[in-house]
Amino acid sequence: MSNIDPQPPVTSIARPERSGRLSCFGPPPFLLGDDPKAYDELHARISGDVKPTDTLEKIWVCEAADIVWEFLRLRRLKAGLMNGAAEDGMKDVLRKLLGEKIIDIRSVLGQTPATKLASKWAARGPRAVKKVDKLLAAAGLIMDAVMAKSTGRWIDEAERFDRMIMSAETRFGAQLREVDRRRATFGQRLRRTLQQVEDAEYHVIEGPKGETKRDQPAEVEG
Amino acid sequence: MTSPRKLKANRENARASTGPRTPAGRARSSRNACRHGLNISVLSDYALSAEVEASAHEIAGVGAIPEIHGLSRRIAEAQIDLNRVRRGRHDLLVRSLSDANYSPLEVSAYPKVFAQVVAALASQLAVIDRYERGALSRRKFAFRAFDAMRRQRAATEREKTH
Repeated sequence: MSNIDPQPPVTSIARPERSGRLSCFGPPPFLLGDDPKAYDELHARISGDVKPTDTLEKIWVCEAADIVWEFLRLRRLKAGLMNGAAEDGMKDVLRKLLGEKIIDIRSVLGQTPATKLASKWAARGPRAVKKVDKLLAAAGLIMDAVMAKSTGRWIDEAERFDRMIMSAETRFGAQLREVDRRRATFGQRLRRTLQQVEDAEYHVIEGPKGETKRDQPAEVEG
Repeated sequence: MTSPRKLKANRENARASTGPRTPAGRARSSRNACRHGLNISVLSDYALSAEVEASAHEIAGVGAIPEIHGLSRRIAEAQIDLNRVRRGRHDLLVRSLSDANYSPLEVSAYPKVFAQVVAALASQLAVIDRYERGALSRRKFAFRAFDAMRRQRAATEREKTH
């Protein structure tokens, strides 16, 4: 393992003092693509809802904000991974449907008709989506075929994200049990707020037959 | 059973194996136990021990009795250790993401790059997780001791007033 670098890394945003954050906690664990303002809002919301009364409770609030921040990031990354993988899977399917050879230098550069169409489909271009639907229907394929291709390729990585999310949730569960030991009402308020924060990350989407689903992340961020 | 001849040879060979002799070799082997520094107590680091002291004051509050202050120092020590472990993981991830030649312009590629980096670092991250669990456990028991002492103090105060 490499030694810990005493200097803050270039891509991290490390500010020693943030509003409401205890100094003994150090800077928040930001990575590339994280929005410090969104973190501050999350921290302020948890703190405002649960109203910590002493330093120990403030420590738990910081801990809760950091863990929630981590697993929301991991969920976004997993959703991003699966979206990117769907594009790769679509490229493979379209190559076969359009009769392209697998070893084609143009495919590496994203220049074959199949790769171009897959990229436009991933960007949800209406014409590309229509064309892809038509091609899949003509071949008697459904979207599951594409998803099967993509999931197969990135299954290990997706599982790794799942394990990391589970690990963060387990850690957080242990923290909540400790909070409950001390002050049950504080624990309940913390749980309720975090449930609301989690729910806010999801939005309701229309299913194919008008039914509603609640299982898609709101957006994919890097 | 080992023959006397073999025993003699083993002892002579062992006496000959006294580690590195060159200054460079000695310098390298002197750092054998220091791979990531997470095993070293935070109190042996001047900057971190000052941080522990400041945090202990913050936790104990103004005018705390020495017992409460001692227990708040235990919490602060575990917390600073936890920060160090987490900073180690964070720096490792950031450094590896930089090494992966990832361009921030390719936003859609970031989840894949991140997944690959995490896969490559799996064993190191598992080690860091172990240290984190240790620090969390120490902090949990420090919290409990601190609370127990405060409750005991409050009960004593109540008895005095009645």
